[in-house]
Amino acid sequence: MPLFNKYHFRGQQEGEQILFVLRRHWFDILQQFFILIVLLLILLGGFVLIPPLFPHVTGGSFNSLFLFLQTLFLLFLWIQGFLIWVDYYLDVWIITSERIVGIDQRGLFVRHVSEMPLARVQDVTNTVRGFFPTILNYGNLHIQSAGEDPLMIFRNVSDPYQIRETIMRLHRAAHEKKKPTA
Amino acid sequence: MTTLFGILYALILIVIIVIGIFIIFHIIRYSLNRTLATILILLFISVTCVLLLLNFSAFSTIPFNHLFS
Repeated sequence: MPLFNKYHFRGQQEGEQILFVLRRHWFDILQQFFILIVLLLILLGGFVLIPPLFPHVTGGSFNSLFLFLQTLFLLFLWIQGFLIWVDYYLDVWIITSERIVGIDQRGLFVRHVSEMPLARVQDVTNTVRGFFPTILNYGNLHIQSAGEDPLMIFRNVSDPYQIRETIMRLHRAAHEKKKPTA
Repeated sequence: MTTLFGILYALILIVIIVIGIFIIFHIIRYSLNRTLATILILLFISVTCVLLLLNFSAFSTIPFNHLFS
């Protein structure tokens, strides 16, 4: 897969190829960014509307205080936006030629990594629930195995039907490879 | 009064810088793609530095004694 040949994750074995890198659907992060976008619009509205409407607040001694509060608010929005982005960017499911690796990043201090060999996959089911998930074709994927971590969930991934088929195809291929030749 | 606000502002700056360091650490350590990680870090550092400088210059011009007299 030439698309992911520049990708590398911690614990990747030699000769193990990354076939797919899956993240949550863009609509999921848009929902989280929505409140920030609204706050940013309020801030921009304040920049434009407050000086002509309330000249006594923005003029004289208060001008620098007003500017300080605005830039501090912008700084918090920027940091919060980047925290949301990092959470989205590092929350990832990797399908390699050998296994499925699930990395669940929650904020900056919680990170859960699980893996499941492709040959041990038992069942894959997907759920698309709700108005936007149905229209935009995203949902959850539940992968079951007989291993130590029996259930892996891909949350809000794009095209779960296609991914389910791909995983089952890779599982069959891995299973055939494991079979002893007669 | 100026000293009190200065201390409070220093605390805010420290919190922002610590969070920034953690964000950079996570991107460097856990990113799957080095190129994208470099771009993200450069973007984050440059914009954060500009915003911090703007904020600091705005803070340093606030006439606290005049405001609370």
